[in-house]
Amino acid sequence: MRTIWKGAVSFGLVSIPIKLFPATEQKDIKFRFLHKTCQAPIKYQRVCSACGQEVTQEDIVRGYEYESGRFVIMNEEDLEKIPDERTRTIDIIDFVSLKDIDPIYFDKTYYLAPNDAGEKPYALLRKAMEETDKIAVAKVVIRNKESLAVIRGYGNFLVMETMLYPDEIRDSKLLPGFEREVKLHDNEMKMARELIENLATEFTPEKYDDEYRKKLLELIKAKIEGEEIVIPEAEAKGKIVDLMDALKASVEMAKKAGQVKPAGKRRKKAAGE
Amino acid sequence: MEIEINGRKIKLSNLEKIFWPASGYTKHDLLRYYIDVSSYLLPYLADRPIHFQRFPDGIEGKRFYQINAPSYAPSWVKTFPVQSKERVRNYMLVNDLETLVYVVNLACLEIHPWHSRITDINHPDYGIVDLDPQEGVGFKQVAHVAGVVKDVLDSLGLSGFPKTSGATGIQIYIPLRTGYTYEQVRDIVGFICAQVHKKEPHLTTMERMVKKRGATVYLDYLQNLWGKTINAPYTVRPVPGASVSTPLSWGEVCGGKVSPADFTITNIVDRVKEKGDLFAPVLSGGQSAATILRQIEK
Repeated sequence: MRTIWKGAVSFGLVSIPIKLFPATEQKDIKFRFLHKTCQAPIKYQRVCSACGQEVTQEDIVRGYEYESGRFVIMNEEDLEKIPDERTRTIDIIDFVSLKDIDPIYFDKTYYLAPNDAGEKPYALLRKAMEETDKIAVAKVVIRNKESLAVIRGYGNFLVMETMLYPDEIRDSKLLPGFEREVKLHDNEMKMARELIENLATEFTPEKYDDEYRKKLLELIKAKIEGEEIVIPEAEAKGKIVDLMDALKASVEMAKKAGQVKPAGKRRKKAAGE
Repeated sequence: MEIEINGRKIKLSNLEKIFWPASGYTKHDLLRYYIDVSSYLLPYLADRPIHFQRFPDGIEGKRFYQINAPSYAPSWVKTFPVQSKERVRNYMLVNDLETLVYVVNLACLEIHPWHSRITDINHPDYGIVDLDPQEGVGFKQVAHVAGVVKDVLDSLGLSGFPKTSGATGIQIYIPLRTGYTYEQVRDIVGFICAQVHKKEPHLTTMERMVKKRGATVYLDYLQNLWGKTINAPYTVRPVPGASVSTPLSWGEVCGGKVSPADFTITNIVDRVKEKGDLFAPVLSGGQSAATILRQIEK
């Protein structure tokens, strides 16, 4: 594993030198875009929208669009002017209970490993949190973004979960479909409870895997080996075809049942006059 | 997914999206219903400017009005410009099955045509007594008031044709001879409503302030105005159960055995095939309201 960041966890007077590693990875299968005729990868060029010239990395600056089409340039020196002593430390602010934090706040997970002579305070923090059943809330700056984070024990290690700020959580009041009050009958609740109890089990993560990814990988492997690929008819697709067939049949029926007569012709002289 | 109707290609999308979560009806079911009922529905839409309300995520999701034809509408969709005080609106005309399918695919669930046609836009074809039950009023009371409307119409020598609004009310259409202005039709229907109110002063109201109406049936004659619209017969309403605005016989209205929720996208087509289009007289013959107008002028 490659270290992505080195610094220290500061906790009262104690400072624990640590290294940071991403704890999770996305296993999405990546496709590259190819030119259909040459089957060669597509290359992207950075081109200026004004002069049309290709632009190299050195010629690129950062701009903040404060109104449409108007930018203020922010260069490295500007960013360095912001006083920030925490860029190399993870500052523990509070200790709280894990169950008090709703999972909606958690963003990314990192492993923390002790760096030079940090083993003892590292073990101390981990053990003390375990015994008090608390986790640490900290502030951390990674790559110009200040995040809230929690540090907690995970087996023999410390992990850090970066968190979203409350204003980054979208307001659930904006969710549609909750305008009406719902009345639940005792019988319905009883049925639902029984259903849950029937499916209740221990959480074993190994049990779940990505079926789609597995099938896609098999398909890719088969193609590499030159096998003919038979794509099984997906259930959902069959259903859509049915829907279309049903609609087409309806259209035919509707046409037979007769079209609207043009208005005006239909209305003869008014009755009773 | 593309469907071809009368040589016009229409792309259909999200057919499997659930539009009525409680009943599980999908957008496909909605399209299927409108296609199946089209030969009965289209005569009530033909040549009329139409207000649509779209429900792209079903009846519990966001909704918005579609009055102007969308800029991306296919060129074969007929439109008609209407100049109002503030602006010109480019209405879509639903004169054929292909346009109906096109607008329903846009999730235009609510279809509200004008009372007049583009051939004579300033003169409505019918007046409408809109019975709007206020909170706490059941359908029985609405049906009773509808019966009183029928009595009043009978005494005036006029025929009216009731339909469920599809939600809680009943609307009674009174076919009129062409040539009455919107203002005249409003006064004619207002006169009828006033007579109904006189007969049932406690069960009905003509009060415009919603707060002051109480648990009564509101006799709404103010829908009979230029640019006002009411959901057409055989259109679906955005209510649980997917109920449909359904023409009833007076026997059904007065018999007290039917409820608006009885008529949904699953059974209307069979009903109309069996009973025929009970609303057909609304389109086939006008009636003179000269006696009413004379009484109003007095």
